[in-house]
Amino acid sequence: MSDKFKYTTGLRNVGSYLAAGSPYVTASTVSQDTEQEIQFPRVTNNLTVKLDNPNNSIMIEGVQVYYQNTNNVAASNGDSRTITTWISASVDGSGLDNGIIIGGTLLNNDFCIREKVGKPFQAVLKSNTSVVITRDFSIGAGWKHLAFVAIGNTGFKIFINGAPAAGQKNFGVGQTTDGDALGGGLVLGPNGSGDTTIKFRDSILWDAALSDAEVLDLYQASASYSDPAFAVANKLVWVKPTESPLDSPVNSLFNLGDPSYGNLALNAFDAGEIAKISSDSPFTNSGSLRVHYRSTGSLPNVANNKHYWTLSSQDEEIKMNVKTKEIYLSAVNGDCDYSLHADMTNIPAARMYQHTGSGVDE
Amino acid sequence: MANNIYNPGLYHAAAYQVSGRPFGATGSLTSQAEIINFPQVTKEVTVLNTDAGSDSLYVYFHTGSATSNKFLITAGNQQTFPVKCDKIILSASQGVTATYTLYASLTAITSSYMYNLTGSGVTE
Repeated sequence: MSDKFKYTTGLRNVGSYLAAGSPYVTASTVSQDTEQEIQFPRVTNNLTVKLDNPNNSIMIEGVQVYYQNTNNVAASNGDSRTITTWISASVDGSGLDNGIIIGGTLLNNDFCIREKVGKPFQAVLKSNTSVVITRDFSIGAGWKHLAFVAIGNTGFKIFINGAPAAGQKNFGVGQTTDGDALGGGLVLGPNGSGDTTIKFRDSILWDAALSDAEVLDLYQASASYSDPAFAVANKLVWVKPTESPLDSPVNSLFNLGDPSYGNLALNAFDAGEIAKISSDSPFTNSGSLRVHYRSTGSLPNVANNKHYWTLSSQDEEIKMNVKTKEIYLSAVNGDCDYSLHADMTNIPAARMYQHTGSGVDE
Repeated sequence: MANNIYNPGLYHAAAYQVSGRPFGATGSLTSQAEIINFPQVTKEVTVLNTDAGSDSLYVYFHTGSATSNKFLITAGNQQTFPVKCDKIILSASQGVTATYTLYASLTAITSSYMYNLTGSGVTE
């Protein structure tokens, strides 16, 4: 029989809305200042859109386990590097000054922040004459923005939450940074010598010494990646993370080849240790997710007249009892992770008209 | 005589209007999919993430779902799905263990009447 004689339910068939619908579930990320259209195969009955938390962190708990960047970049004597990161750390202080918190390549204790008995942190930098300069400091509890600026011919500075901390530590006369110490990537974790619970977010190895103002700008930029503070110098490694835990290449334990993670690899993962994406984050708010029924691109009145619903905090959701064949999601002030589920009627989407008019695009 | 017993069909609207039969389940999840089968077609399913920590869980409606065909429920939160289905699939992230409790309201429609959910929003 030809399809032209096949009868389907109509848009105003009440029974189609009374029966429980078939499920439609999806979760993804809307990048800042972009829009996504979701098309449903059949007309919906109920729709729920929930804002998830894109602001996760990498959590490492254990003695052995660490992430190592495998895309190392060589350096020369006198080069400058900066490590910046959001960090929340619990260190037992008995690591005998060994466990790397964050720093250069494997077993490289010459350009790093490591455990220090009773402090609990120590910044370490080696000169071209093999003189090692150090500075002990503490960051306190909770999330802090930490910057370790190695300046080629001077020494290093430490910044906590954008402000200089612990004083500058300088080389002796004629000394510079050591290229072998600087050259490498990034290690996150105790590397077999510590006992730590650490969470990282936006750990970046910069190919330059950031200025005091640039460090402050980066701290204030939070997770707004479009902020110019994220583009002041070349980034050799950038460990974000920004995606949902299930999608995370970090949670797959090996994520070689992902440039957004600086080619990290998980090493020495042992029973009882933890290396995963945590929903804990230094940021309580992300971007805002707008829910609307026409595109903001072709119809400026959708945005101009604010014909949208805004979700702005984690797990905030909107349940809509609407019939539609499509929905639009857009993000402002940052990327937005979302989850959406709908129960669909048995009415084909082709029967549905496109929403328009007052409250939609006028 | 047994062949003359008629049951409500999948599109029998009244079957979804009357109060349902309860179905409860509680358990823990790893990254391995946990399939919960229902004896009758559901009219509504509520999943609560009871994890004491910060581990999230994911809801699917097909074992072959694409990774995007999921719904995230963070620790301490719940979600109600007003859908008809004969099973639901739950999982947690790699390396974590999340706990859950689930409630479903079942219709009188036998689960064998339910078709295999597939397509956009389920497996693609």
